[in-house]
Amino acid sequence: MAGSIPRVDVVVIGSGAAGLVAAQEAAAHGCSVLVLSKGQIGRSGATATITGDISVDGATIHDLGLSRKSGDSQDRFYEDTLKGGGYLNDRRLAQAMVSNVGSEVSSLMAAGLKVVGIGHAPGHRFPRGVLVSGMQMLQLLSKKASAAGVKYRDEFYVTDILRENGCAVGVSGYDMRSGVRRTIAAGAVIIAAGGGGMVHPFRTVPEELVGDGYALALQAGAALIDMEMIQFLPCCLVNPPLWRGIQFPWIIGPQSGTRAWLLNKYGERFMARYDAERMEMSTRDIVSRACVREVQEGRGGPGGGVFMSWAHLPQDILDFLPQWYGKPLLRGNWHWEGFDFKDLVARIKQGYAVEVAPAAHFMMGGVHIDERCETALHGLFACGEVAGGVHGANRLSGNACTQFLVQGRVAGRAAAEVAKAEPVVGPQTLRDLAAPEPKKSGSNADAYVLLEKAQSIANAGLNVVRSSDDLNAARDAIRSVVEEAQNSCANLVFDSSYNRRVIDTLEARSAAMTVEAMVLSAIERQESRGAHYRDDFPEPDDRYLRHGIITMQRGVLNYSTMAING
Amino acid sequence: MRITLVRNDPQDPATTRRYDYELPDVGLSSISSALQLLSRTKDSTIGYYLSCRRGMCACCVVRANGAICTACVTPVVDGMVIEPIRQDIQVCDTVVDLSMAKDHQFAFEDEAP
Ligand SMILES: Cc1cc2nc3c(=O)[nH]c(=O)nc-3n(C[C@H](O)[C@H](O)[C@H](O)COP(=O)(O)OP(=O)(O)OC[C@H]3O[C@@H](n4cnc5c(N)ncnc54)[C@H](O)[C@@H]3O)c2cc1C
Ligand code: FES
Repeated sequence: MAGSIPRVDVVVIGSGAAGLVAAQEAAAHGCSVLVLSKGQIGRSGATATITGDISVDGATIHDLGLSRKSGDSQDRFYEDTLKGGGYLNDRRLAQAMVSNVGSEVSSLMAAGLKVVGIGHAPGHRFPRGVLVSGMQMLQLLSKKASAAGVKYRDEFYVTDILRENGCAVGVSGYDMRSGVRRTIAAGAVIIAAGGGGMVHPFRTVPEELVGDGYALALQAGAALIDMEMIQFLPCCLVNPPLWRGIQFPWIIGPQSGTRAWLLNKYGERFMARYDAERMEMSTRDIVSRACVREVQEGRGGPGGGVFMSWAHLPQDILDFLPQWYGKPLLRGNWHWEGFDFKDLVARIKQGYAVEVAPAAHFMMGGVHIDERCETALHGLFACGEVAGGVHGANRLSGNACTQFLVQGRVAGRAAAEVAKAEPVVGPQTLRDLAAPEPKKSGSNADAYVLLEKAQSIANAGLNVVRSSDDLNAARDAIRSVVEEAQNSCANLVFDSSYNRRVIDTLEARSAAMTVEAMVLSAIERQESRGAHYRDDFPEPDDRYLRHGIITMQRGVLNYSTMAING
Repeated sequence: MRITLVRNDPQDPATTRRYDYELPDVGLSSISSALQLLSRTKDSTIGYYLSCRRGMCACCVVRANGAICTACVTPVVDGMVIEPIRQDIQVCDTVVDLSMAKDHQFAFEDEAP
């Protein structure tokens, strides 16, 4: 039997880097802070998967003692971020991001963050990639947050944001460990639930990122921005299931500079048709589009991808790669991340091709926030990948870390101010607000099938190459999945701990709602910009150089546009 | 393919039992995918942890045929016996508590401290 409803100043949803920075900052301002995470603290979210870069302008990198002077500046970093984003970026958010990341990296380094090098990624005119490990960041950030007094609840799935008089006043959710449904009152709520790449069947992102943050925001009355913008990472492994979605071929191929060839089922080096000059070394979006186009036109492989081959190179040339790629990232025994790719590399050296395809990787669209990271609902904030706008139509490498460090801080501070200033909502009011106890009926045996349906609709309509026919079909198809998922959620029985039926049902709803918002946004943007490529409108059209905004009223999504903040 | 899962008896969580399951052959696939498939098709209360699917978060760790491994990057093989790595930090079935904030948990009023 649950006791009375507890109250904290600030609830943070998610324990990736964004959530932990926000939590620490709010606690440092004297707030009681509770972090609720669907996964375990420090071991969930996309942050854990980073062995990569935090973008920082070269002048600041020099000031941090990490490299020599490069001629770079914050202004140049800002310009590149806007150019990469097809000028669809929210200018205020982009400016804040490039200006404030230096102090965040500096304080992480003071706490012990190991920088393994400085990388130079495409789209950046200067080397700006401060190379770090996401797991180490999580260790340092959780330690800092704990020291500031933050409390946590691991494996707690937030399902609803509670509102009263136009203010966020708490959350409720499924405590997976105890199997109980809980409500918590709060002065302010921060969504730091990460992206939603799991809406795609083929993705690089962690399992739990199904778009909960977008669904939570929509249902609470907040708006979403530019939801059609999702980034794909080219050339990820298609098979076997063990390696599905892993970008190893891209890493040992074009990403690191070995001249692997992309071939279609006829063995044609098809990049000649898409970028004859740069071929496989073209930009990520062009390579991704070319690969998908080959498949769409019937020239793909059996697993829905194309082939990557090193057969034209001497057998031993790959052996030198770990020496110059960076030892901490790629080891000579071909262990990469948690995988042992020794056998795969042996096959590659024997001349076999591997089948690859672009995988969903990052969401540029997301919860619409102002410069204080506040949403349209007072007291509801969002930060990190779940928040949209800062990257515009495409994100440069390393800029996701920059985003979560800066926005985490801003959201934590602003939430603390609101929580301290607002009168306390009585638990009695909240009890009425809490969602009614679910009915003890209904079977949800096919919950994961619904999630798979949403994924296959996203795959058909929201892929790298889009068209109005595919998008309209996706819009028609997703509605019934949303409705079915909502019905299943209304009938959920919270009767045991770790019940995957409950989790899958809730996840299906989030994924379906996210896909619907993405499809609607993609239909309305009748141009190609950044990651959004329309077959029927292949060029940018400045009449569409506006943000697409999605809101929900009585369960129905509305689309409108908004001038870009400048 | 047949695997054995050592898990809590759903009726009597204090006892552990061995459960044998039959799995379809889907090609080289991870222990995590096997657990996920079982929870989806056989018993939705099978507890397993799965996040990064690439051996980074380490939270999917299990004991497979006696050896400790991260389930998401370890191939499942016929006859495998899968158990939690340790009883003292077990949360549910194969899930163990590796939280980085174990000592800073929030307690609800009705929970024993
Ligand atoms: C393989 C990979 C490599 C990457 N490499 C880089 C890189 O090198 N550089 C870079 O800049 N970016 C990189 N990115 C992107 C970057 O990792 C993410 O954008 C970033 O980590 C997001 O951080 P976050 O804190 O916003 O969210 P996340 O780290 O994704 O955390 C989200 C948190 O929210 C929790 N959560 C979700 N839903 C709920 C809910 N309903 N209730 C409670 N909790 C919830 C999750 O459990 C998790 O704890 C990479 C991404 C991937 C997938
Ligand atoms: S799920 Fe992260 S290591 Fe296996």
